[in-house]
Amino acid sequence: MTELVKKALAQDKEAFVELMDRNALSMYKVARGILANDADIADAIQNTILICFEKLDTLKKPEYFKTWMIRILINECNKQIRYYGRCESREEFSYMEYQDSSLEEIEFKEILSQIDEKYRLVTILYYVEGYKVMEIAKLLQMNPNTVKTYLHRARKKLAELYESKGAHAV
Amino acid sequence: MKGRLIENNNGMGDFLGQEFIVPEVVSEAMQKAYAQIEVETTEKQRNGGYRKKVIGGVMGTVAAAFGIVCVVGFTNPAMAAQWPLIGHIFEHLQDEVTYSGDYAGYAEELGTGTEKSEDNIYTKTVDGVSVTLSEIYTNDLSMNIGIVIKSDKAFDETLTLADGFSEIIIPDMVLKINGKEIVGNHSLQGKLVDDYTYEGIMRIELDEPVPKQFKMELELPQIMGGKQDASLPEYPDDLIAFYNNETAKAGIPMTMGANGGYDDAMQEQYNALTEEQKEKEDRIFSELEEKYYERYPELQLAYSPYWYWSLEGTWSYALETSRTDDGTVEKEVGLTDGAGYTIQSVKKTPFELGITVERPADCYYIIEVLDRNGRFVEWGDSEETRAIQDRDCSSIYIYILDEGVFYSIKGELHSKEGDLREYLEDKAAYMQRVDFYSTQ
Repeated sequence: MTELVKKALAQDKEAFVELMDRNALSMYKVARGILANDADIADAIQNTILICFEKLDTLKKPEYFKTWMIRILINECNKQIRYYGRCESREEFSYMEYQDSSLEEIEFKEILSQIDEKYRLVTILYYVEGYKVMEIAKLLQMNPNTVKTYLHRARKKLAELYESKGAHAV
Repeated sequence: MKGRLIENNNGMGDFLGQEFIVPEVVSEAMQKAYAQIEVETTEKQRNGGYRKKVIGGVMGTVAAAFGIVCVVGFTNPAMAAQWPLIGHIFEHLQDEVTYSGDYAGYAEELGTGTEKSEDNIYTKTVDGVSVTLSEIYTNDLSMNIGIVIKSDKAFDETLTLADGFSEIIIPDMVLKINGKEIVGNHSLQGKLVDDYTYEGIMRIELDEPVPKQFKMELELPQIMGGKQDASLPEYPDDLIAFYNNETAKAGIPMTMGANGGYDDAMQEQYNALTEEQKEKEDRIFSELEEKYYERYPELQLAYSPYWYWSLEGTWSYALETSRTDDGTVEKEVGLTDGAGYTIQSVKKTPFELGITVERPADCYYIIEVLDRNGRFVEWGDSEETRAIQDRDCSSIYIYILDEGVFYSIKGELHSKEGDLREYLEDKAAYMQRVDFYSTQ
């Protein structure tokens, strides 16, 4: 990955494209931690790619590319929220997202939907992207106590859901 | 399955970490972004200015930002006195670093092999912190330097990462070879020998081979370490009062104590709230956080002093050294998909494999490599740079996998043991065996 970042920094457009493609799923999952539908996510990722390309010269260290990219992505997702607000109508498209989706994608979305919106991003960063509490705190500029609290609540929420449904669902 | 999710944190990761292809709407948006970049860069190139400006910015920034991530583990301080460090860094660490192996006969000892009490061309001291370049080994693919950092004062405890190592960063390091700045992937893996001493092997990937004999200049402006226990400012009294007033006004039975933060008692209180109360409390807590970060803006710095300890330099070195070709062999491969994607060659050193690939823009392949016995060869710094470790790489098998196929088998592939040749032959789009020591 760092090799690609170096090439991208040296103005290799193909390397940049490959870099973003390889991070596509990570970007999608992180964005899904903030936004509720794929159309908004698509817009946020499109903007993120454009900003990353334009601002690549501000990246201080190649090895921090991913964190840098995720920070931009989070900003773009938050812009989407500010732009659209939390309109329920945007959620109406959700059922369409399941068409042509793989089982893995459906399961991912369903699990995530069980977690309160506020805790989703922290949960994704911790469980999917492998960031530690302190790293998440840095990335999201949150108090580590808050990160821990969010993770605790997300786990607890899922546990409650499965405890209430588990007998029938297992 | 459900029980695992509840009881095991990793279960959550298993579910949420599943690989899949991003939805089509996202994929299309990405293609639009690439197309827009293509159009804009073409236009700006045509008009002049943009590309020139960006290149200048990129090169200036990168040259000045040669950061190092140092991973450091802890060891028994009592052993420190038994270890003559200088000249033995590779010996100490060669079994534990990513590019493990026997460096004896490859690494060149710098200096006399005894610990130095005074500065010389290999040891520089700034404000009681001496940094010694102990040994060096350069091949066609990488430069590896044994480093000892000694401080008169004990280091702060350094953040231990998930892999058991700790984090040290050397921002803005500059490396020049024969006067030319090198921008490369780099890492430093090592151990805290005692409270005052780190030893590590710095590895710098080389994009192109260095001359047989060359002059190396190295500048380390600053050494930073992620704090093991970052001590952030407590919530100030007035912010705690704000939280308590707001929750009281909202009729939420939650009170923040003088120490601030969420403690177990507050967690219990929160759990007992109604959903409506939880929503209100979340809002109040968010406001508290916003005020907190406004109060302490330095918390938002990339290298905030709250998160990193730092030692100020600069430690500067200039020395003559050489490239070692022993054990390095290169083979032409020529494995291609017929549409431009080509694995041109593979270079093998005693410690790594470097794969040279030509990639058209629209190719989505991932390379995997097995050793002579069909065992997986670990990724090193990248897909193209593999760490040989204990594998028999006298012959290797190179597989080109469609990206989608790779991600669908990635988890399984990387956890499989034994001979994977049959498994990968079934999955790969293209495959070739490379014998490094045959004459054909």
